[in-house]
Amino acid sequence: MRSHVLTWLWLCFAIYCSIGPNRASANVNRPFPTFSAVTAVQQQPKDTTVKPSASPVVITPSASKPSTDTNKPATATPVTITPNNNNQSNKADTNKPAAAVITPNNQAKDTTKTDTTKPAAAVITPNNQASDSTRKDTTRPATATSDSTKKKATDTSALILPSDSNTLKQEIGQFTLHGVVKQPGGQPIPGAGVMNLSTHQGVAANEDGTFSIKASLKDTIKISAPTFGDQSIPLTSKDSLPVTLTSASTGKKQLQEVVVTALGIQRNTRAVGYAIEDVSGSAVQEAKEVNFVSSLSGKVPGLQVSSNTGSMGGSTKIMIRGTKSILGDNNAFVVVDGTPFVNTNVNQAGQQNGGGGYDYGSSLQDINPEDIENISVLKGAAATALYGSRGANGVMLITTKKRPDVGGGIGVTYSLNAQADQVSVLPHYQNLYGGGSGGKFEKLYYNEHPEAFLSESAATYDDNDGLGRYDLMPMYRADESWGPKLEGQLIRPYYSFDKDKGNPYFGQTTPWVAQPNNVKDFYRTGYTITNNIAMAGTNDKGYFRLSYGNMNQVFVLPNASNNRNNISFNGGYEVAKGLKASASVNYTAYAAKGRPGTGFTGPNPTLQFTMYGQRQLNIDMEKRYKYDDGSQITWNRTSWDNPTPLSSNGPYWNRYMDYETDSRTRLFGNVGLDYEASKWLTISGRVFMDSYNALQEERTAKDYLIGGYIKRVPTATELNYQLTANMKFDLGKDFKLNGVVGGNIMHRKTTVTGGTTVGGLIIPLVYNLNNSVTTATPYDEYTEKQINSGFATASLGYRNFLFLELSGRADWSSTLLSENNPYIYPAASASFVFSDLLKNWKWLSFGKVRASVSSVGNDTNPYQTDDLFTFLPGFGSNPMTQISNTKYTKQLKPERTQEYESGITLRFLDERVGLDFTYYRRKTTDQLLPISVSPATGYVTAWGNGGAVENKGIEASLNLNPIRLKNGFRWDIVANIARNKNKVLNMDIAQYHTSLTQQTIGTDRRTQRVSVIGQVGQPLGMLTGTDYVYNDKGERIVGADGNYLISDIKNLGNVYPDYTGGITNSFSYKGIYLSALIDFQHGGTFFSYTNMYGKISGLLDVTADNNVRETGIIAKGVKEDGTPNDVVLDANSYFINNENKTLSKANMYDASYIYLREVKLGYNLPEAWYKRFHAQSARLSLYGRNLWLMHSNAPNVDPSNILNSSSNIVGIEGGALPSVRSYGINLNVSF
Amino acid sequence: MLNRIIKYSLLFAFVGLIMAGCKKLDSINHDPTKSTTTEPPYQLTAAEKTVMDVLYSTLQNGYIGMHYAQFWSGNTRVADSQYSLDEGNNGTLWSTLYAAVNNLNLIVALNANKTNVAAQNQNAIAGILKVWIMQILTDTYVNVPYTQAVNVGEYITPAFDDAKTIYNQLADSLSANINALDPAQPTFGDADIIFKGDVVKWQTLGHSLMLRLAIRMADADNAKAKSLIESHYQAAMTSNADNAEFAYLGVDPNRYPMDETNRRITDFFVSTTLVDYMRATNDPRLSIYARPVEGLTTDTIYGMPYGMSTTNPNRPSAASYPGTRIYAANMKGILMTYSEVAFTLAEAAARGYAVGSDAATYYEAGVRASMAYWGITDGVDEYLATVPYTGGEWKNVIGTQKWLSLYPQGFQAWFERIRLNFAKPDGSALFIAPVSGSLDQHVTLVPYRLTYPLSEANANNTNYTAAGSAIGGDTKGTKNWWITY
Repeated sequence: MRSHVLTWLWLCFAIYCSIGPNRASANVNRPFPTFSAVTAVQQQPKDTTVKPSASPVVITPSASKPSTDTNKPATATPVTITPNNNNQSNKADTNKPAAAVITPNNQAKDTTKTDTTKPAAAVITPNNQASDSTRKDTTRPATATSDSTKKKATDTSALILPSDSNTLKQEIGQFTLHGVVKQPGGQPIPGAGVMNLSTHQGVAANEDGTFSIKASLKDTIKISAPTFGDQSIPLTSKDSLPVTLTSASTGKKQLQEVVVTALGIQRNTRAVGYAIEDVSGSAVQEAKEVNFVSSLSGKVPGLQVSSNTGSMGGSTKIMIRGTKSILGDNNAFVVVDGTPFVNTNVNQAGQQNGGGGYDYGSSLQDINPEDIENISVLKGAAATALYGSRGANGVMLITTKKRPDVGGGIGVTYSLNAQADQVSVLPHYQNLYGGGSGGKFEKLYYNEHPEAFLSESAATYDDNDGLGRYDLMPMYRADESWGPKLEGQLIRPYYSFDKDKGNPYFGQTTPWVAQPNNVKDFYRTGYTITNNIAMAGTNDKGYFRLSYGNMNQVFVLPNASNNRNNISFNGGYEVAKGLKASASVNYTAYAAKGRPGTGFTGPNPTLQFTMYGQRQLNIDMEKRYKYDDGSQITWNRTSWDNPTPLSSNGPYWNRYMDYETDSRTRLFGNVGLDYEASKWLTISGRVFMDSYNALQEERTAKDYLIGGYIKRVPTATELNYQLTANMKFDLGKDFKLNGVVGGNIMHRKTTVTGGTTVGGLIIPLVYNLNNSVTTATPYDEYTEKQINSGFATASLGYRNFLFLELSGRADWSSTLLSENNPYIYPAASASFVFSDLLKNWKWLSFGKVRASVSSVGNDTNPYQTDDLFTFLPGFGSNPMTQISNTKYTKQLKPERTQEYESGITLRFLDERVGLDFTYYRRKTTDQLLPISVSPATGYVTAWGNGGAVENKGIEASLNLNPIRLKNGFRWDIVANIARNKNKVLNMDIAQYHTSLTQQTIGTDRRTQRVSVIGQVGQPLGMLTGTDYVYNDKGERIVGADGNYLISDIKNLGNVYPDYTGGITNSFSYKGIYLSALIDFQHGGTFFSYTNMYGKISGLLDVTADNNVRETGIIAKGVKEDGTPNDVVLDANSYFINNENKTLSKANMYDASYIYLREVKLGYNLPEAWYKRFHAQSARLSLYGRNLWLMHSNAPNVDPSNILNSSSNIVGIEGGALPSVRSYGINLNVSF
Repeated sequence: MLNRIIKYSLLFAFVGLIMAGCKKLDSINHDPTKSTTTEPPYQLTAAEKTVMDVLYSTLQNGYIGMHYAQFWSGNTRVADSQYSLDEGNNGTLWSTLYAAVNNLNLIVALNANKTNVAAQNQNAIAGILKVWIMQILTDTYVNVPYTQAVNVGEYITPAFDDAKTIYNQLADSLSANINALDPAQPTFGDADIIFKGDVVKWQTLGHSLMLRLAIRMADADNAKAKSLIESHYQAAMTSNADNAEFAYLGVDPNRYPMDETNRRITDFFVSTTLVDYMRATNDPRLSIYARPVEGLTTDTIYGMPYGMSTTNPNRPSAASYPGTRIYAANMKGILMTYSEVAFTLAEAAARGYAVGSDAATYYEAGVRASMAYWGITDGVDEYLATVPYTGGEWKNVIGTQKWLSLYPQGFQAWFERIRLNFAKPDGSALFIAPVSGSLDQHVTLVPYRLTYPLSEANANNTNYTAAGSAIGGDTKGTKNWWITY
């Protein structure tokens, strides 16, 4: 089948590409002979299955979506519909309990389209399953069919269509509705509240969970019970209403019954032969992060999200199953409702290795967390094969909300999120010594410089040595704290000069005292307020959702703010019988100001607080950062009579004068048509677009310095044109076949324009490239790329417990020469629900094994095939060109990845225990390598293919429900852990007839000794640097001068952790729930600038502890003869010579941590409260994020917060910004 | 009706899709904003500038050349003065020089592909510049890739050649290029910033560079040095008018790299080694080489004891920064000046080579040329009386003056320091070991070479390892082949 489909597809391409357009159009009818056979309805080919042992049939709510909506996530609390007694299907093969075919009442006549040949389906939601806590109130149009004989239970989905209001008008008058409220295990929920929201009458369920209430059709019945998620069900039938409530405990839906797989195809978990993780939107909505991805840390096994909270919406590195590509991008591919999201790292190269610059962050933050319904994490190659080359690093599929949060008709949801942010995990500073070097003050004599004093008597000291009165001065020029002890001596502070500038502090002295909080007080409390209002509606013809969100962040740094507006629209409509149109349009505009610099750069606040600086500075005085004439006041003045900053601006000058701004507007979304050509065939066409314009402006004020301005305007536009044919067949009663055949054309164009001033600014404070002393140097970059693809997938199911899926994709990429195209990615997977065959094993609720094998790949960036010359700014009238320092090649082939994966899912003991385990082995070969070559070749980099990297790993998740009390108290534990073992197998580059032994991925900018490398036989991402020299006993050897001997460069550890994971404990009771997420990482090594510079600059506590500045330090170790070292070094020399750039190991630390990442306390407001506002539900929650670094082996930095960028250069902490801890409140009201 | 509309619109959409996909993929993958071709003059200007930029950068010249020549000592960053090598600076020096060689080779390649009447002279000028660059590389690192260098298609991991062999090949190459120059033929013109395409001047420079090559091997291969010098000295520079210099424009982005118009350079103090000797000899160049101490002390020129760390209690709180002309935007990048030629010939004469005049004559010419270079006319005679040629052993006399004349050519001054191993003319030591000690366990007094940059250990490990053992260890203590003491 697969090969046929592929062949067919290629043929099409070949024919249409080789003949003229006229003939092409004549031929185009042929593949679709069924165009006119418009009979069938819009049905999503989706598996829902019957759990035979379960008497109530639970329809997963997602099933209610029309088939056109392939992106529709599986959401929300399932509704259980007990079949009517008369509801037995008369289909011969239904020995199963009854089809719950739920359709609008009076459309039952039109049942040819409901096509319900199988008992419908669905599985009991495990009661220990983490349900979606923000979506506790789930209103579903639920109508049990009264005439099942006419209906064929759908083999795929039980279609829940909204009521037809015209029909319902005829059903006037009330009836008595009966129903039963149960837990997923089948136990009744006594005392559950049942409320008719239309009449506002309420009753309580009996001991056996049954209830009776007066109702009319179209009324909405709301069922609630403490600790369970509410359900609101619009009535469309008089039939008995069975309800299953699931726990409202946690935000995670790990065992969601229907999952979204590649290309948005929904599949039952039974049918999926590979690991897939499903996270509901609430996981990123309640306890918000500006970039929603950061909220996923610790919640998905095998997904590693790294970020830097101190950088205000900075980069996130999203890695799935470890690092695969030695020098290529390793970040997951993000797809929003089918739209590939451009999320490339746009930071400057020097920023990535700690050198300095701004982290403009991940453009994923353009996505409004409130619009997210569901996130599917596709981890393995089998799961992502349909994405071809782009899915090689795993895929994060984001599905946005499309329907009301509550009820049918029109619903409005408002949410408010207010959060306070504070810095945490600041370095430990010393408070005993002030700025300077050599422990000395300098003297300023009145007799030599009377102009520096108010009067002779104002000079503080007189040694009676004939030199006259004088003042003590700290060494303003020294940007370090090896100065005199802080003992209250009166000194002339840096701000006591500049008489000619009318300085009111001229001539004053101040005591030389500690300012222990001068760093902490620099950071303020930040606030983030998020408002979102969404309006949505559905009817039988279509649906829409409009959402507006506004995020306002006032960051912890002075003059730093971030503002984002999101507008989104999702809609779909059945424009003609069998033809549905849908559109999704999202517009985002954000503007940030005063983003902190990262790494070793002036605008990074840690540069002058931790890497360099003077400890005794009074932060309040520093707030006075300029004189009336606009000139700067900085502590780092050149000398008492020269206010020019020597190397450091004051912190407030940095914040208010040398600030950056950036903004981005983005439009993304898709439009599409789905045409149900026949009962078995649906044809869909979609155009996806993602387009943004950004503006980045970096300013340096003209003052004593010449000033400067950098402007960059990056733009990117990606269009995808996709055509798919969805097919489904029943092959006899036991076999079902679903298939998708399609083609996609991807076209992406990016540009960067702008420029940088040269020679400084002409006029101060005017930031324009024309205000450049010498003509500004322009930026002008352009890339274009296209990938043509054909793909097909087929899923064969046998009796709903055995499934086989085959898929393949062929890509023709413009970045590779035609002879290396196409490249084909096949995948096969199988799953077997063995618990179906073990029905008498009562303890086993569900069991599935799965296995897959696949081969995916990766192409490369544009323009790696031609040698280029770069332009240098001209030398006067003489143009200059240079050979690019990268050697390109025509020979590139795609990178290949083979992966084997197997796993098992088990749920047992009445769903009290759930276990999921995955093992994978992945080998990435023919890597596209920008090989670092010897510069003696004339190049720095040469492109080639080769090398192999293997990733092996396990992912395990465990769901436990240790306590489940009758009174509704529950305790749930969701834990996950992932271990990835990585190894570089070889780096053979056939093209250059060479076998490399190692490749440098990145070298730290400042010491140039610490590199992240790939080395054959070692894990990818070894951190190398110099070490101590050890003797046989493992003692450090110290040379005769008392300094450590230093080794050659060698491996000092792996930057990636051995394992990562998270544990969520949640408790729920009577509408209140409490959950706490602890995430952790074990292993990993990083090199720390914070510690290195903080020590050599005398800022950190260790430089003054134990009186070392008075007594000196003996390096711990032995002399070469084995006797203990006894050479006393002064503290400054000790740190400079032994813990500085030359001895990398001295500042390498273990990156393990345990973090209390998130705590949420939620409360469903009582109905009486929210009823007054005519609301249908309201929930209030309190939360905290990044609360407590419970364990870390690294001093002064938060090892989970050291990311510079999303590049492969990790493990180099370049002066990380302090972590930000957040506390917030979230209110969510639905009307 | 509707269905038909839909049907056809779908049809057209599909056709459109297919047609869009038919765009030639290969044609997309050419960057329309970058050039795949260029012209020899553009390459020459860039090569001259990039090499000068690195040779006179504060990072390479300041922290390495000027330090190892002991002209300067670090201000707050003293580790470099104590021979802790900044690997970033080291790597940039290496890669910039080789990239320039690659760019110069392209001139020859471009000329091979077209009929360019200036090709012969252009190729020869590129060849002379290559010799100049390669000699700096081998003098700095000893064995370096040469025959397999800048040929990435064949040698992605180029082998290192023996330094002496490279010297011989450089001498041959230089001869060939000098002979290839034809003043009757067209050349680069203004794109050649150094000589504006003056072929005769390039010939003169070629002969002068031959003297530099030859004198450096004088101790190790006297016969070859003698024959080369004797056959080339007559065509070498005869005055400052022949100087080979790269005249920076003085405005961004074409300012002299060690220029402090935009931001003060406070990284370096002049060393007491330089200041004390110059003051003792009343050298008129002192006020150009250094400026008065700023701030507290009275306005005088004071040096910083070489390699004295900030924690040393005897460290002066301030010292003199290098002179303003050394940090001026329009300072010239010096390739070679006549004073070097004069001192070379003085040494050649002292060694008994037949160079037309005696050592004292050339010595005096060298001193006078250096003074003239800095515009000094007063006090030269008095100065020469203070430091006469007859003052001591020729190595010390010529060495000291050649060293002073090479300021601020840090690298050449360092090479001459370690080659001649000279003292003051009276025989007392001129140079000192870093006051706070060397941070490199292999050297105490001065490094004899730079260690290979990390890029070679990382990307060219096999050849790197072999080269290290061939020269006797990849340390700063390993001496070049031309050092015989």
